[in-house]
Amino acid sequence: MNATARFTVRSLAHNRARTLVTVAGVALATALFTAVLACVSSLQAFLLESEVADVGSWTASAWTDTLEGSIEAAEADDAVVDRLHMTDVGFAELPPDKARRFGPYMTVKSVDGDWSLCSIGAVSGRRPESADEIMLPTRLQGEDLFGSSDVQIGSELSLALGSRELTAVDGDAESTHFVIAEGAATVVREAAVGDLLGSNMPWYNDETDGSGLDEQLVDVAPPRTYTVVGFFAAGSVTDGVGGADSALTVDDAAQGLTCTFVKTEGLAAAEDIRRNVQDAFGTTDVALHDAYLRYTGIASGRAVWDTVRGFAAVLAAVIVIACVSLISNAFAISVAERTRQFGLLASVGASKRQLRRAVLQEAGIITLAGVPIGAVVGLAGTAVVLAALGPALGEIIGGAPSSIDGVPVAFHLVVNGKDLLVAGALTALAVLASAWLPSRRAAAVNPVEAVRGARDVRSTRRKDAGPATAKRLWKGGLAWRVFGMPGKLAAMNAKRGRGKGVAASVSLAMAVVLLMTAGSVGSYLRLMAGLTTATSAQDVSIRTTVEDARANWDDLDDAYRQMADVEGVAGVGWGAGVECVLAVPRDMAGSGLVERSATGGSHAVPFADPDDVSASGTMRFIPDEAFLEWAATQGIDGEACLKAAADGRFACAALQSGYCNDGQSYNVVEHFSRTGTIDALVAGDYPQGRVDGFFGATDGFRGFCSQSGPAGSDEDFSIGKFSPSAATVDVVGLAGEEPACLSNAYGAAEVVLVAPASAMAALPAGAMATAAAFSAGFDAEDHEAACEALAQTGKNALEAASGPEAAELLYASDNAAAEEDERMFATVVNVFCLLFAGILLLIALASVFNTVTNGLILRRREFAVMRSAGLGPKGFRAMIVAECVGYGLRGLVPGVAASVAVSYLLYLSLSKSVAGLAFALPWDYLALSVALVALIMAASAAYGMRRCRADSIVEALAAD
Amino acid sequence: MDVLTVSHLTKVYGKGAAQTVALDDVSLTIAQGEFVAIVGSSGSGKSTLLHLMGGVDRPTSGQVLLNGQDVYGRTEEELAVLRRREVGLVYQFYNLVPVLNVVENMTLPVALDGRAVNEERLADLLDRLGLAGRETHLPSQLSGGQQQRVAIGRALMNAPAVVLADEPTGNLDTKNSLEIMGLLRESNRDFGQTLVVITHDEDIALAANRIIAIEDGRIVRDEQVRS
Repeated sequence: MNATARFTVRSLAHNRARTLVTVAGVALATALFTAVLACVSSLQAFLLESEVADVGSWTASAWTDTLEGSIEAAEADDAVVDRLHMTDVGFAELPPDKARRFGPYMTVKSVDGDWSLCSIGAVSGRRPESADEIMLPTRLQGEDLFGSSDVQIGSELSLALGSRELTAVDGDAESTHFVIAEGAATVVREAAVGDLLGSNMPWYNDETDGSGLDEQLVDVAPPRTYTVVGFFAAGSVTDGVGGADSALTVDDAAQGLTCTFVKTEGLAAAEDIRRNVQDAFGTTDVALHDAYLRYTGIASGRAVWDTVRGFAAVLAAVIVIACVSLISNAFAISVAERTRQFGLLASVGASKRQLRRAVLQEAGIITLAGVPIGAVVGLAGTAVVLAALGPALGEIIGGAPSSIDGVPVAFHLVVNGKDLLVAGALTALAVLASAWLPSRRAAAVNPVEAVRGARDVRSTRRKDAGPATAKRLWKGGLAWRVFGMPGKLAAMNAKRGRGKGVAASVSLAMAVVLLMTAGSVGSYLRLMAGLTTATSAQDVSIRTTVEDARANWDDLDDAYRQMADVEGVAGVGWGAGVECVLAVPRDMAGSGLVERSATGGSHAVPFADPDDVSASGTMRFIPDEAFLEWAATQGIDGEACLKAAADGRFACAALQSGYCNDGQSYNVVEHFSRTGTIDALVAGDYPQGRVDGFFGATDGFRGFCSQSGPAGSDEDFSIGKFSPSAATVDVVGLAGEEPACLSNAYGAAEVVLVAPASAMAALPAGAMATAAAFSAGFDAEDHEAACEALAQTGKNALEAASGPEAAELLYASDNAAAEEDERMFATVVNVFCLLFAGILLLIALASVFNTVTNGLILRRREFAVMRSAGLGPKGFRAMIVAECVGYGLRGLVPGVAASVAVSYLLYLSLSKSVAGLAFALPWDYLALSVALVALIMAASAAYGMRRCRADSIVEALAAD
Repeated sequence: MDVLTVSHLTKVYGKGAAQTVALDDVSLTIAQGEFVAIVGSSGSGKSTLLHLMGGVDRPTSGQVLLNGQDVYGRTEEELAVLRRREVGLVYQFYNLVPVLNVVENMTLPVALDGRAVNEERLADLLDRLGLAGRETHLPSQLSGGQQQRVAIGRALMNAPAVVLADEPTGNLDTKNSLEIMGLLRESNRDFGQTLVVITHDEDIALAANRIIAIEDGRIVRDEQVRS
């Protein structure tokens, strides 16, 4: 050991308390780095495991015309290490009532290869092993299908399988193409009239899509009996046609259109995998398993993932700053205390380099001691937190827990060597940065001055060297006015003393930044949780579709009352909404509406001014009384709407904006910029009957009828034969919120008009004749039981009011349970934020306390001089208090400013995935910061004062 | 008239076996305008006596009367007021407040007392101490001799009942020592300032009216050298 190293070790040992505090600070910093990195890694691992459990570990899929061809291609490709083929067997038509819920066909596919590659496992029963056995998606369990009532394991289904053939409704359409945007590549699947359609083509039905194309089942084989051997959890890989799930069998006879899922190895980039599979299978119809590739680090992230990384980066930056502030403080104090020692060393021949090295060596030793402890503490802490919160976290992030072969995927700690290395390196860097300036200062010590003991005081070469009268020198300034003479002394020390005060203020500023950052992170995370998790104003909501709400209004109201009478339930309200098409004058349309119409979402409304902005929307009606109440809360004149209705005019309120998720980010979209008059297409007729709804076709908004006209009638739904019924709508007020009973979990995406029930009378004949969305809300203590009871009562009551369909489509949702989940998420977020902020605060506050008390103790002699010159205990207290108030203010003001900046950075990072979000400051945390600063300064002042006052003046003066 | 009366003053440091008697039943009086030199070897108790006379320490027993008032019958707060009004202390190591400049250091006791500074006296003192033109210098910008002059200025600024100096020249070269002693003597002669100086320097001791020698906490000699 050379001389400087020996000196370093000695001085570390001598100042044991400070060394320990510094090592603890370094360890805490490493622990936090480790925790943040480990959380990100664990999250990534959890997402990967969930994805594998839900969708499988395949990397790409390719469609080929024959099974044989795909087997050959997969075997010839060296990069393919595992595969699963899914070959079309045929399609069995479902009766109309089932079709509405389960899609037009049951698509039967034969599976060949490694089932686990796509994570298709039996939830109950087993996988099929022969061509007579079939495994169904779980949602079909208990249904009445294909000759079997109550389908269960062992049931026999009689399926008449056929092929889909594309047909034309009129002579115009001859072919179709189906475009899939697939990353950088675009896949186009084409079919002409008369072609057979595989399970990779969408369902064609001119009535609903207006494409001019239809399809029919041909070559239908005689019914064949399949035995149900199991049920599986359907996923995207088992998609059938038209939103249905496939049924799976093992049938060697199936040799046609095949989708092959492959797992590739040795290809580092997503596009390499695509090209490889495209070449091997000789097709461009290749899809990548994006989520899997993303979580394995092969493909780059999506907006949400960037947000996670952004958060981690901001947190890491905050830790670095906290760490640097604490450690540089400790080193600054250490060097300041040893100025004399360094001077002495310099006077006996230590070079500047050696002095610098002594301080840097100290930093090195502290890092070596702190990093391993920190890594262990960080991993242990993360493990404990994840063990406690993991299941809740998993559910929040991944929805229902996934499982592989019955073993649920858990959110657990993933220890990653790279994370530990990065955490260690970041800490070392922070320590080095912290020690750098103090080491320069140690090297710059002037031996003579140091030994003589001259203190660091800023020289004052003032420009105003005018007559220096004592009056001018002592009086004036805020400190003098508030604290008198002792305050002035404190202010002078702050102005002319160097180093310590600044360090304390920096540490305080850090503490404020940490606390407020934690506050911001917490509130933003909660905000995100609020956006992505459903919230509703009611504990339980009942939704269904009802016929002719205008005619049946009283019956529906009666049905609602019956439900509200269910024991333990309190009704919040109900309403019914119908679709409509709106034409909004351009200057009345909100920015979101104008933008949507500009990007191709606008279709001409048959009767309206061509310059109007068109949009599909809903008219929602609620009972008059409820409407008046709601209008009052929104500052809208509800009476005006009722009065207009009495006069035969239609007046209503509109929601000013809507909320939508375009797949990338959540956006708040402005729908209206002012009140005014708009046109609404509320009904329409074709020669063959009344329309049920509207859709935007290339030549304008058209109606469609879900029930075909009389047999043999000319089913021509072209725009020319469409006679619209329009209403003039006075929008008398713009509302910020929907009525509670209607509020949708995710907020409304479409344009929403809210009107009193009596306004329905002002709509033209035919309006409201179509299906309306009924929704009713209820509050209940025991929401689980209430949900069940309400569903039952609702089914009976609504069947009586509106017919069997209302009962069949009834959906009761337990919003309270969803909210409990959300609260759980908020708890998790809060625990994380508090843990993080708590540890960081500890670092910062330790640093402040250290700095302030050390600063006071180092000035013992100075205080003794003042006391010997007649500064009394009261004055001394006032001076210290004034000094601490000064430190506090100098920490608080820049701290708050910096916090605002950090909070804004977080906001920027968040707005990548949540657009239209307002920037907000965590005021509660600001108040807490002020209180905490006051508290820590009071504690430091009290401790420092006690230490200094206990001194006898004589001893303090003699001490050096 | 007696400015300072010390009776049966005892100061004991520590407890039990580690007990040290720094001052052992010392009694003396100092009259207005006297210039007293206290001499004695290291650890003899002379500094302790000086501190007890100045109200910066508390005795184990005994009494100190300053201008007829009992120094130690006061609260800390009253003691501080007494120090700033009636006592001027000068130390070997100057002991200036590093963040205050020359004028601020000198006027500190007056400012602490909340009184207006006597500008005339300040100007006169600055002039006599040779500090004119250095009013706004900080201690770190001054030489040792200059710093000690500021300390003397601070002690004299309030025209206290007594100036107590603990080896005021102990840290200075001969030239500066002579100057400092000259200043102290001058204040004694011109203002009638009562002066108690601890010194090792025989020349300084001989310049005093009276020399008190202390050994082992007791007065071993107390002689009037000139009237």
